[in-house]
Amino acid sequence: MITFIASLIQMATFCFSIPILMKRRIGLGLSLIMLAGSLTIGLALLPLMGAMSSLVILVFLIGCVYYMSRRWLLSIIVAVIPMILVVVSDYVIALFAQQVFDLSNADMQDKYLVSGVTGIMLLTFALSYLGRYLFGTMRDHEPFFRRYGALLTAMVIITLLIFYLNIWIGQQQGFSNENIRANSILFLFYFILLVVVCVVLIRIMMKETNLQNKQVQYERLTEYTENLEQLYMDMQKFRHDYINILLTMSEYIRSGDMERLERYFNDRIMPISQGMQSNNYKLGTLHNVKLQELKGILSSKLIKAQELKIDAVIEVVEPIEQVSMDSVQLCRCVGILLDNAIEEAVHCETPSVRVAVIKRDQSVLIAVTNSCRSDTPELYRIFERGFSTKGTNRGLGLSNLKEIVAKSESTTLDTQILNGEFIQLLEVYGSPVTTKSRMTG
Amino acid sequence: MLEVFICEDDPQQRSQITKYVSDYIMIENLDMKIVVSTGNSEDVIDYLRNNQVTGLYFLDVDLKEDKSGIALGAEIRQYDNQGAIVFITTHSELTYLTFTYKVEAMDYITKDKFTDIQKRIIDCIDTANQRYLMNKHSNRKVFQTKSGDKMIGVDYSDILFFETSSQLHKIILHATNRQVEFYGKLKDILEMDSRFYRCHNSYVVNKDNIAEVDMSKREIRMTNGQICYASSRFLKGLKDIVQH
Repeated sequence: MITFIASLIQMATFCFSIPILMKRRIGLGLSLIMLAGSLTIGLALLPLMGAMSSLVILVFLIGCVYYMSRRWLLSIIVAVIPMILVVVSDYVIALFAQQVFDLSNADMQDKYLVSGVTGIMLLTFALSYLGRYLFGTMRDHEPFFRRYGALLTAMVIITLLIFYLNIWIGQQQGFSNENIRANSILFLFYFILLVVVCVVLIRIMMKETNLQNKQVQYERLTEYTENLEQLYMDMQKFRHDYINILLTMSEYIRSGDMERLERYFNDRIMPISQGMQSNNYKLGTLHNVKLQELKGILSSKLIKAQELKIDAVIEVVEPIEQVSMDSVQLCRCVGILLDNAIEEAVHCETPSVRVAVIKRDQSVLIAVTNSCRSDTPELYRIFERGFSTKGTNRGLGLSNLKEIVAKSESTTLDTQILNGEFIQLLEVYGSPVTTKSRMTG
Repeated sequence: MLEVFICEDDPQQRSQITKYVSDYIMIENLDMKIVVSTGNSEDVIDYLRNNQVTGLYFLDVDLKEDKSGIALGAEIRQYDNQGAIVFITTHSELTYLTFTYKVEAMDYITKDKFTDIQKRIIDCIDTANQRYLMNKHSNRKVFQTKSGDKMIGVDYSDILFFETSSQLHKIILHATNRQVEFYGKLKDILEMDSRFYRCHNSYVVNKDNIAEVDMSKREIRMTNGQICYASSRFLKGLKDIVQH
């Protein structure tokens, strides 16, 4: 009975550290399956394999997490880390019991098993929260995780293997007190070293990513500046021409030559007013965007669109000083929205992309519309991972966008196809909102 | 009655617009009246403050005062959220989306094409009038919810299902040709119409748009092919619905 309760607590420790670490609720059903499954495996294998049975449980848990998240690296990491934490906690508690209460390992196994295991559980949960903080910062930086996820996985797996190798050796020697103490100290130091290395690594890599972002942003702003200079040159040219035009016209008027005046007006002056509507002027209101990062991505994408002969327009009527969203995430979202709009618009007969940044009472709305082909597939298909109108291995954009928005508390996405236009509205609220629904007839 | 407001700071253009509107109302004998024709935005707001109206507003975007026409439109919305706002502007190209999403403007008229103005004004009056009459005796049912600053309206017949997001209180509405997120609770939505059925802890489905139910996979295929999920707890109720 005692063994059963102790195993139950131990398995609960494994199972519930996982959601803590993932920062995500898992359904009641899945938690029960995980708990029951690992308990069965544990009870069946413990007499046969001793501590090694944990490794079988680990494989089972990885399977469960994969079923939920559909991502291998992630599931391996979040299943392995609790194991490491449990081992560390186990030895810390054992060491503590030995040093403070002067209890031998045998005592722990017999008399104080349940309280010992409970202690392990509490310590593991505490460590999990710490781990969640580290792991959370890492996962927020998606590219970072993608690049170093494999390395991280290898690291945690090796750590676990080393731990269990030691335990196995200890088991061969019959878990003497000295052995436990030596292992405890070894594990503790190894663990602390691992955490420190991770923290340092994260710091360095964050810096690197930030630097890269800055670089990209700088390039975009340079492009924008060049665009503005071009605009300024046009103005200069126009000012220069202006006087000449007036002189010529006054000459025609003075001589009363209406016919040539008309021809001159149509041939020379009308084209200039057309030029006023040319591409450079369509980005004019971009100056109202006071966030450099956002301005950078908007200008670079819209200039790209114009190079592709798309009628690209931006409207920003009021100054936009603040958008309550992490600027890296915001730029990713806007980048995806615009890339998607441009990709689709290119295929249309009269391609157009229109962007607006609109300040509202409680929010900032980023509206992106583009012309789309009449045979656009059903909306839900466009959001599917891996779906793209351009064959395989693309189309991660919109599903990524949806993921970012789903993670964010104060952002909503509204997508619709209306009168041959594809409309995406990204709304970023100043603070989380709750509202009431109502119906009208 | 639909009340018409005109706010344009150029006296000549204002009298021109006023004439177009009043002529058309008289000829067609519409249930409308011009109540304010002014160059000063305060007059419009004053009137709204003292009267409860559904209006049709013609607003110049470039008013010669601090407040722009767009800001005036936003202020009008606080008093009259059903009214139709039409902007009159010189820079046609550059503010279309802002009109639509900032103040839910109905339309905009550009001054660049001088000859068109009268025709465009008449178009707007017609549209606003039709919309007004339709709202008055309407039987087309629209699901409406307010989320932050935004009013979301979707025809009930277009709604496929609602899904909860991983973020608390956020709901995703899946409709044909639209996916929109808003803040609310599934429980409240369920009570809004008898067509809605709770088929899963995180899903509410519109019974009218179910194509078929796969009992073994616990999937509901909607009329457009999209899949909605059901849980075993609610599957039996669903079976009864599909059979009827």
